[in-house]
Amino acid sequence: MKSKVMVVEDNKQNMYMITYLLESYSYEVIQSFNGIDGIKKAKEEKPDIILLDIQLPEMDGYDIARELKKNEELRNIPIIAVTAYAMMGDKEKAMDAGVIGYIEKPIDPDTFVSQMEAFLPSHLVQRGKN
Amino acid sequence: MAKINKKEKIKSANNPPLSKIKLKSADEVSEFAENIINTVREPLLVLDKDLRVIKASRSFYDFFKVSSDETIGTLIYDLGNHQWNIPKLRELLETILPEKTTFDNYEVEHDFSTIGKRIMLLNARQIKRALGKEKIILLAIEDITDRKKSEDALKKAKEMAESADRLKSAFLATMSHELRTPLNSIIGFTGILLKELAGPLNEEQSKQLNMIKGSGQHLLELINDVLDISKVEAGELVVSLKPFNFSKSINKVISIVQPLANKKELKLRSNISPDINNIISDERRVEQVFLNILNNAIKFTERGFVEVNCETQNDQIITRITDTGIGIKKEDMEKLFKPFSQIDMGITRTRYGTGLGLSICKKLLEKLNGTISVESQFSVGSIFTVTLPINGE
Repeated sequence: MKSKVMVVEDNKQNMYMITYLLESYSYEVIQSFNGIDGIKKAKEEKPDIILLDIQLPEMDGYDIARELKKNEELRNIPIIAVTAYAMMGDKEKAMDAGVIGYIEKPIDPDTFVSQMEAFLPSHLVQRGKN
Repeated sequence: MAKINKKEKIKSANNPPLSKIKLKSADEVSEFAENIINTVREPLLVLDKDLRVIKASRSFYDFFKVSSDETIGTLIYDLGNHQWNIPKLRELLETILPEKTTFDNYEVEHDFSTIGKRIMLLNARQIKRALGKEKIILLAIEDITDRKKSEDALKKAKEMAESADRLKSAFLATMSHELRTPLNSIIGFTGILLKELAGPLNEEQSKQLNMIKGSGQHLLELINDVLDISKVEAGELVVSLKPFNFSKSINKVISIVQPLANKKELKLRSNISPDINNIISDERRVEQVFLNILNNAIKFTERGFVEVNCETQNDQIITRITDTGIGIKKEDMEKLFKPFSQIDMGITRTRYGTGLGLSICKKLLEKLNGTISVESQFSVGSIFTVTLPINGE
């Protein structure tokens, strides 16, 4: 069974890029373009890891992370922030909200997947490309 | 106070007191006083205890465009057809002065029918007359209308400049964020194509995609630099001081620039004193500074070496970055740390750069209580020296 990665990202091209990369490495991707939908889908799909954009309209990444951490069933899913260099200063704020890792934008296709896998329990890491 | 009195006493032992100066008659005394009053440039009024005018200076008549007939003997509030019935003046003369006997720089604003709206500073003194027990009041009037006007204009101009500056910084910050979003997808998709995840590329396709990637990365550096400098200028750049391993950071930066040096066949050497361990500073910013300086050193060196030396000296870590590059002309040294001042020389035009790097380094180091300086000899090389306090202060 493929490991499930949920991506919350409002920019369509970024979403396509991340999805393409992850699918190339045999991950199943659940896409969500905003926080409310993201929380709903997380409850339904129970992903193995969540990649979260921080700057989102209405509900930002911090709010989403806090909301996910409140839920008993979702609490243990690792949340990784995928965010621009400019926002890196807010590391503590993100950690307080329950984010355990950072991937800096622009993402580097050479390292992106392995950066994510570092936060994924080893039995869930997909081996090899599609 | 007692001290001053003592001094005066000593003085008066040698010199006769004012009252003993050879003014024989009351007329002479009066003339003497009048001369003094008329010499003062500021309008001056002398009032009796009932606030009637005893005397007015010539400057008073000139300034308020009134005659002595309508002034002398008149209650101050009735002056110039009751124009002087000013609440704030009443407060000064009737409430403040009886208690304090002197009061300086009391600001009164009033619209006079003869001379228009004026802002005045009043200095008031309540004096006991030498003979008898009656008190008189001296009222000096300084017109500060014009001064106030230019002060206000200056303040307004300053506020406008500051708000324009804030607007500029906010604009730059927003713009650079907005610019980065599409750029992320340009760089990302180029990278995916180069990884050949979407299929194999021929040689020419890889070459051109690499050019897109390089230009994209250069543009990203520019945007990040603009964002940094706008943050610095808006005073929004926050550093977080925490202990970290300094030599590890330096080695990390060296490993990042090593491929660049290899490409140009430059020797990249480092010599880090073994007593250097932890420093309290902002790790990310410190790495940013050294990455910038080392990148520059490699960028502007065609042959020879780039060397990094770190040592401790009196609670400071001193890092020297020496290169055998093109060097800096004396006249260009000053410009070096100013924004947008990549020194313009034919040869440097081919080099990527924002011209912001060193000015950001300087500002960052100021924030981190450090310094940056440079020694250079044109066409021989440069030495950049960075100092950072080990305990952060």
